[in-house]
Amino acid sequence: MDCKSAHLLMEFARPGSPELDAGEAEALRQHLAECGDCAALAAAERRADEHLGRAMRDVPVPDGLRQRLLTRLTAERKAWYRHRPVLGFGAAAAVLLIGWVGHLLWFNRLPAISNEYVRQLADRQRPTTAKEVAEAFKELRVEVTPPPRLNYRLLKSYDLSLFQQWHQVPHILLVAPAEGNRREATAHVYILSKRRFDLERTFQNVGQFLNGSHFTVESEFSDDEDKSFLYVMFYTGDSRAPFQLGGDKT
Amino acid sequence: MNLPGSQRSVQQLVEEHYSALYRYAYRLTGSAVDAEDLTQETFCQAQLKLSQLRDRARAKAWLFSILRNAYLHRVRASKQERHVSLDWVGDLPERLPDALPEVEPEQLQRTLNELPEVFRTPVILYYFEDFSYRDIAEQMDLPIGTVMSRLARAKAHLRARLLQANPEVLAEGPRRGSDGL
Repeated sequence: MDCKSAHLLMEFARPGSPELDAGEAEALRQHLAECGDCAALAAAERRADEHLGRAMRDVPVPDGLRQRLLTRLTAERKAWYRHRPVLGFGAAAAVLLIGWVGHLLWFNRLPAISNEYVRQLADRQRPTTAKEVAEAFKELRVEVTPPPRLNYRLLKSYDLSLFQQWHQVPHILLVAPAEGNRREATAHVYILSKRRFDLERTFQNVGQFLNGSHFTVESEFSDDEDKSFLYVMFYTGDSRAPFQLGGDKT
Repeated sequence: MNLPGSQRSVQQLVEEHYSALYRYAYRLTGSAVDAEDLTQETFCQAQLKLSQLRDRARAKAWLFSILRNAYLHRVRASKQERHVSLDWVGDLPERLPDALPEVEPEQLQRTLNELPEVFRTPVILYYFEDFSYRDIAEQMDLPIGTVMSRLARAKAHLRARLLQANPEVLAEGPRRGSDGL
């Protein structure tokens, strides 16, 4: 075998997923045993592939994803069966539910929180600007543009919150302390991205302003030309002014 | 449309493949929330189409294929793909440094995001190791030679950006001769 053929076969000689037949693999092995240049190239290729492969596969899987998947699949099945009622549905659903609960109990292993993680949390500074909140979400591997005109000094928490049961959505909680005649007020802001939701339809469904019994809800698009995000804000109190930059004066 | 997949079969698919699917989705999208959405959508579609899976041993490739289609559907809907040209990328560089630098996760994802999807998908699947070139070609509905060629260019791009001390210099520098793919 010459070096050019060996180079070609090396492309196919993957340790994890061998693509060569036994004859080709043996011919390549023999060539590499005799040709120092090709052997060095093959070793360098393998080393680089292993190095990049390790990095590529290094993606942490979020806690609870498996259960969220199972929950959603169960919900989808139930929805499907609601539209297609069949005899024995109740019994079948009960059996499935029991099976699912049993499965969860059987497979659940309880995690422990590390001292290092708690220390990191204890040292963490709370973000106070939209830019810092965006950075904080980036640590959660989420790219968002938070609402620019909120007073983030009132920020109590930020996280990924479940929306409509199974969609994880960036969520910001602001708390405005009582002041004068005004009672303490809270605002939950959910940031919906156009990459994941039909924002125009959501906006039509949610409306720009909705006065509920516990919260007032306002929604608005982000300022960018593409309207990449829809901000849905649930707040208590008379208006959203306490949560805005400039506070009650706005 | 019917729902032929037994709950147990679908749960088994989740148990066996959800981590790999999530990782694939994450590398495709570069976003944790998008990756989770895509993983959920994949299993929902799989639940509806389970009768189409005739060979259980092909379940992983089947699920990956559903996920890629769902991803492409979203990308087309939102027209969000922006990427660099690979015109400057040739074959693999002649030499890599003896001590390979640590690959920063963010830098790896940025570099992947730069690649057009038709280059990104084969290189992700390649590094996930379980997929043969034939599997990748089937998933992408392409001749195996095209997959090999795209893979070579995508790998060269990753190596130039992530493993070389000075990517600009090395991108212009000597390269190993083409294997004719």
